[in-house]
Amino acid sequence: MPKIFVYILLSVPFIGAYAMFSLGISVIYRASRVLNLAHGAMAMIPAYLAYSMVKVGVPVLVALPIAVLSGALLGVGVERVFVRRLRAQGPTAQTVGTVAVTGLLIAVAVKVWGSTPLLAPQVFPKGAIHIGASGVRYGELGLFGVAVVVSVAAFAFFRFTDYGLAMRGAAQNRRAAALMGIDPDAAAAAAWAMGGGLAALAGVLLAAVTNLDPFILSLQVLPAFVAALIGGLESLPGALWGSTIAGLCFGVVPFFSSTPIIGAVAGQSGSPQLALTVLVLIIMGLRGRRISGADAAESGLAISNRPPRPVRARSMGRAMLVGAIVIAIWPWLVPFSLLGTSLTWIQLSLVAASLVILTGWVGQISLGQASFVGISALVTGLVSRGWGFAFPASTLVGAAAAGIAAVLLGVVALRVRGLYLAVATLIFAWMCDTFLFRTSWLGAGSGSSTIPRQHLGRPGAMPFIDLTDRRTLFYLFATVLALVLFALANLRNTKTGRAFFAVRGSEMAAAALGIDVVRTKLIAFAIAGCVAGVAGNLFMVNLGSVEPSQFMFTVSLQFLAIAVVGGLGSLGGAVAAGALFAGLDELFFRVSALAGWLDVVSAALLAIVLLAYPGGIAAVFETAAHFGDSVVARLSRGPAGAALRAVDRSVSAAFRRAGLLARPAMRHARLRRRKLASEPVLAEGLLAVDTSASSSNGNGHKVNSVSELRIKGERPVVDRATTDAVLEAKGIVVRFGGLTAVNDASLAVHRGEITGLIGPNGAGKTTFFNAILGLNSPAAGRVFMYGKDVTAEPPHLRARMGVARTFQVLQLFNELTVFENLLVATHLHNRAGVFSNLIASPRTVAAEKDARERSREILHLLGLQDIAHQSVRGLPFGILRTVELGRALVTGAQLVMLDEPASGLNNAETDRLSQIVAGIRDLGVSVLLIEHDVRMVTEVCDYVYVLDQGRMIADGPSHEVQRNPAVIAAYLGEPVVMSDA
Amino acid sequence: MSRGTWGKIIAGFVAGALFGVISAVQIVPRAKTRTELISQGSQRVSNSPGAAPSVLPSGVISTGPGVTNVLGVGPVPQGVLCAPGHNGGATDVGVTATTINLATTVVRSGIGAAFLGDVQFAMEAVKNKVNAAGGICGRRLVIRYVDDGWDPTRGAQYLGNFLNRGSGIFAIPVAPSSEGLNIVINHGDVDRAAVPVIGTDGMLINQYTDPWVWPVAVSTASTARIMAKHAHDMGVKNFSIVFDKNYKFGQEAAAAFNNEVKRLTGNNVPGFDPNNGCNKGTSYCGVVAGQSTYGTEVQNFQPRAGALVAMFLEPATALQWMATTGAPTASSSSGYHVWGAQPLFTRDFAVNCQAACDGMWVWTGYKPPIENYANDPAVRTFQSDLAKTNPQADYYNAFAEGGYEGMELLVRALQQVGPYLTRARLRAVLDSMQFSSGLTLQSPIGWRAGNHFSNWTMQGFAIQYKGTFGGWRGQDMVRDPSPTLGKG
Repeated sequence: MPKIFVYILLSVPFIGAYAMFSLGISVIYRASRVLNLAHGAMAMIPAYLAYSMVKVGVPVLVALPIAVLSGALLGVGVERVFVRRLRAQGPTAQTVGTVAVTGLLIAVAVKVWGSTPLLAPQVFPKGAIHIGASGVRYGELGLFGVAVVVSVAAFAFFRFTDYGLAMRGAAQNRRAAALMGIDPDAAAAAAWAMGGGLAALAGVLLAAVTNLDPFILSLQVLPAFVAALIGGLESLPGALWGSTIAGLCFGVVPFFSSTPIIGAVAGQSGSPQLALTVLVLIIMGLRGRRISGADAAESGLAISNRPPRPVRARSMGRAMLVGAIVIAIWPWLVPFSLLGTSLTWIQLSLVAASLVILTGWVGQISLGQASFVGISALVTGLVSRGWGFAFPASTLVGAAAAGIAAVLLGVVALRVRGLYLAVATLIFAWMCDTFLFRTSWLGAGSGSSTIPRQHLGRPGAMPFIDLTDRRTLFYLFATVLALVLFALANLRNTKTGRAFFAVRGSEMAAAALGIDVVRTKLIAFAIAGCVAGVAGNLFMVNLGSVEPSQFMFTVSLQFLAIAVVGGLGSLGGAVAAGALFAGLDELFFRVSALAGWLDVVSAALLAIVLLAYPGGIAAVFETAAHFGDSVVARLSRGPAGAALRAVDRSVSAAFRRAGLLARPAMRHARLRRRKLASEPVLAEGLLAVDTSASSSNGNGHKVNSVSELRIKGERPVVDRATTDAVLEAKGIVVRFGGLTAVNDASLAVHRGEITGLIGPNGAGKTTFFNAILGLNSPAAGRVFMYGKDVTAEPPHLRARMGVARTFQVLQLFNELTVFENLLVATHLHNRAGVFSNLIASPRTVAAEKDARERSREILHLLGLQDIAHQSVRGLPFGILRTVELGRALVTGAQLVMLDEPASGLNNAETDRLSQIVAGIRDLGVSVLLIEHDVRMVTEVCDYVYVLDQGRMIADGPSHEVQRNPAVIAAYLGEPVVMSDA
Repeated sequence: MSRGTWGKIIAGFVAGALFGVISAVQIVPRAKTRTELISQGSQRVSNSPGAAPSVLPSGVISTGPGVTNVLGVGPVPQGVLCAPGHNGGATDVGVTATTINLATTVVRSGIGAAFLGDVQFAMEAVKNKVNAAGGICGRRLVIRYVDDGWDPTRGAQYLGNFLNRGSGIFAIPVAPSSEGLNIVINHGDVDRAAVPVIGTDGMLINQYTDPWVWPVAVSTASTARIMAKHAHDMGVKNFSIVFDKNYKFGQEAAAAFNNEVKRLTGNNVPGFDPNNGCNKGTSYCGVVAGQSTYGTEVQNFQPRAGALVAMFLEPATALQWMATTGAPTASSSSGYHVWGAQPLFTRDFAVNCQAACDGMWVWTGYKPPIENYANDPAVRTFQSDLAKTNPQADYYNAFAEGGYEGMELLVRALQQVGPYLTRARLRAVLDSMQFSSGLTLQSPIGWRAGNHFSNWTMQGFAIQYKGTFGGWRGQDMVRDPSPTLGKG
């Protein structure tokens, strides 16, 4: 037999094991949208139960179904206690919840059965089929066979049974399922029961061919996540297919160890993991979508349901002053051990902050942050030993190395999102742990990487700083943390930060506002990687020696848990959570009675915090801060208050001199308190007009005040023959597979014109819209904007030319306020770069000032000033439509494309909207309007196109199109001629 | 060029210049790290980089050219006696008139608890015995145990806390959690603090080259050399090794094993890979812990008939390896000599491995409570003392026995120092000590300043499994041919 077939056959045990696990993982994901990282632990407990039963004399064939039943019950328990309660926080929090479950289950297993490996009961006969120099045991073959049978059964259940379909539907849309009489909670519980039972079966069968160990099974399940990912996370046949690929990697890659060139890599331990990682990244890259209209829910993230609490400048300044004093005296007050804990706190805070950026702000879920920390730590070791670099030079190098690695991983993130990306990053972390960190060139080949004893300057000379002294390290690390947080806080409230939130909220909307989604994501990965890299460098500087085991992929899960506990969108929460988890080390050091309970306490703490404070520590802070405000307000009256006010005044003055952007809340506070001029708003048919060049009333006269504008009812006449076309779409064809959605459609929008595009449902209007904007690729046709062929241009570049749009399904940025949503739209006009944003340079300050003024004008224009600082969550639908429209106006685009803006509005709201749209034209803006509301179309549109089944069937002035027989037939159908009987 | 672009260029130059200045300040004379010194087999590792220590007859240690640190070894003050109330009181950090305060990290949680968890009970057994007899010169031993879960980061932090002068800790006994110990040794923290760490398990080579650490166990490197040399002496012509690539002790063992084979045969182990892989047809196989099967590794691993198959694996990984179809066994017709290192000398491993491990030798530097050693007074004392502290503790566990041995060493050294107890005096005593507890195969074991390779004798014990576990059968006792060689 050719030797490679030997290796292929030796892959069977791997395939069998991964298939069993990936099946359960896919079932749970398919029916509840949760990535169950506790799957290995849920497999382990029933395996131990089976062991205990067999030990007391229960036949193994009786113990097996009991164990499976126990697994099902365990699954239901996990769903009830963790998954259901964390549902409001989104799938990321639920996933972290499963991390807590893993810890708890392992801790329970250790306490009950011990940590010594045990021999599990055999299910299949002993013996093996010998293949080459090795072989496959009957138990491994049995595992494979059972995996195939169970896969088929599960597939059939979900595909052909009513309840299986119901479970899938409930996972997709709980509300819709409930309306159809399906209990979504029961469906989710059933999914977890199924998944738990499958995990139990896998655990018992796999333990029979390995051994029972509370830790190893959780490691062995990891390739199954890869398998499930390859299969798309939802597809059961796909999971089987993915398991085959994963198993073959483990079985076959070592075969190539003697092949020239490839063999140098293939022979190394960890090479199968490397091969699998590369494969997964390629598959993800090919499979993913370029731009997604997904909102945060699909990304699996929810930061907080509470609107952001406006932070008063005084309380922020006060807090910073107190913080600085505490940090200054802290090393002199606390015991030595707590000083060490403080160093850990700073490192953990930095890693958590990196996740706040990447996962909280941009929505890119990363389960691989430990790999960036490790890369930086090992590179720090390299440059310290090789080039004599010490802190802080090594910090820059380490951070850069981690940033570069993060960007490379981020290239994959361009096409995947949500939990798919999470698994991809987990695989990357696993590869780093098993392969990259063990290579000799990175310095840990001998098992650890060490730096020479660190000091700045020379002993005996000035200056001399001993970096082995914890007190010194604390001040240096605290300074680094403060600088990083300052930079990130600046980022949050500037163009770059808003772009992050925009990409997180809706990539489609972000691109439509001129934001380069690809570049934004890569910037986020770079910054997050650099921040994690700073943490890694501090890690190495603190300890002086690191080992690869300190950066295992399981550590990444702990880091994510810290960020979630902190409140995923909050830098302050990240710092607080870092303190909490670092404090655990101090607790274990101080309380000897906890010996042997570390695992239990850690997992229990995570579980309690997740369940009791689902919004994280940041949410707790908000509640406490509200209370604190009221207390401070009371205390402020009287002598103490006078003293506080004096301190505040001097702090505020200092910050004013330092620059505005370190205190974004100050600006918000000023805005909120500002008495806004009672200028008329569009809703009343009058306009307050921006005095920029774009403001004109169509007659070429610049409009300086509201009284100069036409009120509704007066419509200017646009001569198409003499007016330039700002938009032309010629012969557009769009196909989706075999379906032609748009077939040779053309339209033009002339300057100063309101053009309508109407058609029955399913005519292809939105598809045509998206083709014009570059959100899908037409099979034929050209698009011209302002006379330039933009057919090949990406959406954000078309937006930069002066086109803005609204969406049929609202695409607001739910994590931002009304004002911030408008601010995002100033992206195109804001020339400040990322670095400038980070350091709050004068350029950024000036750009932000302009952006805020611009946005405020539109706020007034649309009458939104009173709700400017409210979160868009929970606002009335009509207001949200107005906000989205305002966002389009802020861009200053000459052409605004509105996709069914009246959808969901009542008559009064529609009338108001009509006035706004008419008023927009008087600002010199051309409009392309898709709308079903014929009354609105006839009221506002100068020219109308009619699309039916992908083809243009009529165009002309609105009153003519209304009477066109083809149009009437398209909407109402052909008239039925009754024959005389 | 626009002003913005010029601005960026200038900013880049300034940033680069700043970076360069900072870097220049940081480029101190290129100092070898402790790890590098250790890997070169250097025994003379000092507190200051680049400076070799010299031992002066009076016990004064010079720590570098022009820098002398007299550690205070000298005569006992008048009136100080080895008796309660007359012992000189607080003679050093962590020492009072009535107590000697010790602290260490232990492994009671996590993956290491399976084989390291019982060490604490062995230490407690010695401590209880000593205190029951009135302590040492009127001072009771007080030991603070802190569980670090075998986590290197946490372990290093906790040990760092103990090494701090303000901790009030006199010495660190045994330090069962070697992960954290490795870090603090590598970083020079132990040296800097000058805190004795006594009776360690010798898992990693840096324990033998630090002047403030006194291991009692046979080093991993010695174990590897013993296996290779003894097999060679037995007439074995072919050598192979499978080792855990995840853990340092596996990598150290593999390096030492290969170096010894090269010394003996003139060639590397066939298929030797400096990247610790497991290539096709190799006899040198690094594996990743935690896999459900090692079928492809076994397929690639091709030791020749009659070869020595040295195993340096954690127990769980070793069990999985041995359960894999085709893994070399001692009962195989190919006549392999399958030998495992000390971590595999546990009852649980032998029982769970079953027939696959029949005839497999496991090597230990201690006297296990089996066969002729079962009636050894020292062994019986160890067993009964351990049982008193924890009846469920595994007295077959070599780490537990090593912990007991380490504590016995500490107690003996403290007794020799006498009432005027200081770290420097303790160090001087240890560095001239010959110690015999009766538990080690080599007796006595001893240390010298600059040479802490005290124990280099091991014995192989063959696992007996004929349908049921039948214990171990003692085999040859062998010494390391080059005990001070480090990894070689």
